[in-house]
Amino acid sequence: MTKYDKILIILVVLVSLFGMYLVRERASNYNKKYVEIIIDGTEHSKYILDNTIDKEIEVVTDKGYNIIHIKNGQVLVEESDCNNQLCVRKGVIEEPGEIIVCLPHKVVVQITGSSEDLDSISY
Amino acid sequence: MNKTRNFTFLALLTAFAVLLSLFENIIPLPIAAPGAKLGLPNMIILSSLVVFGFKKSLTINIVRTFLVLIIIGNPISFIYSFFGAVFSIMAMYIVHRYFSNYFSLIGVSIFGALAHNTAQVATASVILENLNILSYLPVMYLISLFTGFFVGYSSNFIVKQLNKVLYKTEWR
Repeated sequence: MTKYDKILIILVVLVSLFGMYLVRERASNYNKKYVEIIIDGTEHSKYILDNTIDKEIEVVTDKGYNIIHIKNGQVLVEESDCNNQLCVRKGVIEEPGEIIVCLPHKVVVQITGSSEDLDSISY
Repeated sequence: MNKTRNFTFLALLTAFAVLLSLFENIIPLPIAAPGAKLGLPNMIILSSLVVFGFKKSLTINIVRTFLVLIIIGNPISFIYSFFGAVFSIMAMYIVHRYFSNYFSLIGVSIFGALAHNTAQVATASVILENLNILSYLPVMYLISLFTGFFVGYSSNFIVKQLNKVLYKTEWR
């Protein structure tokens, strides 16, 4: 291993940590969260995400099904008949910018946020 | 080098690479990210890049992705692995050819892993028309450091043995 290998490794660690920080940072500026379910690039449905909602959505495509559960402000894919089960193993997501992808079914579950601050307050 | 022996050697390496791809397909990974893999076949690709050159290792890699497509029969994952394979081998070639004074095989293989991940995630975001998938990249870069390191480290041994065999019998 040469000196430049070590520099490369350190650089990549720094860049990826910075990238993770950016992803997290972008997520924390929102006060309203939504769950979007996207199938093959087009939006299938959209739900508001907060702690009170408990909802189970079954998404059926011609390739198979995914059961998506929204609960306690978190989203997870509970069950799927896809071959790699990556979407199920991904677990829960709860912050804007986080995303669950089921590649075989072309299903994307993502959390988006919007910062609907009040424009002005009059008393 | 004798043409038939050369051909046989490439076929053998391709078979090894296919085997390793199939093998890593059954190994479950602790993280769930699209296209995250150990990169075991990259050991073969990297060593053949060093020993046989760019064109032959590119051939091995492309034939490997096609054979894995035929065996596993998953056209979507074929698209990812194809782009990943082509981009990673181009990155490794450039680094090995022009910057081998600076980087050892470990560095070369890390570059290959980074290019592989970038290409796969980019392909996924194009296919799913969703740029948010790119948010997987930082995590995958971190992981590819480890896999890239071990692939590069073990490639050292393969290259050594391959060269020994090739020079001993004067096939070159």
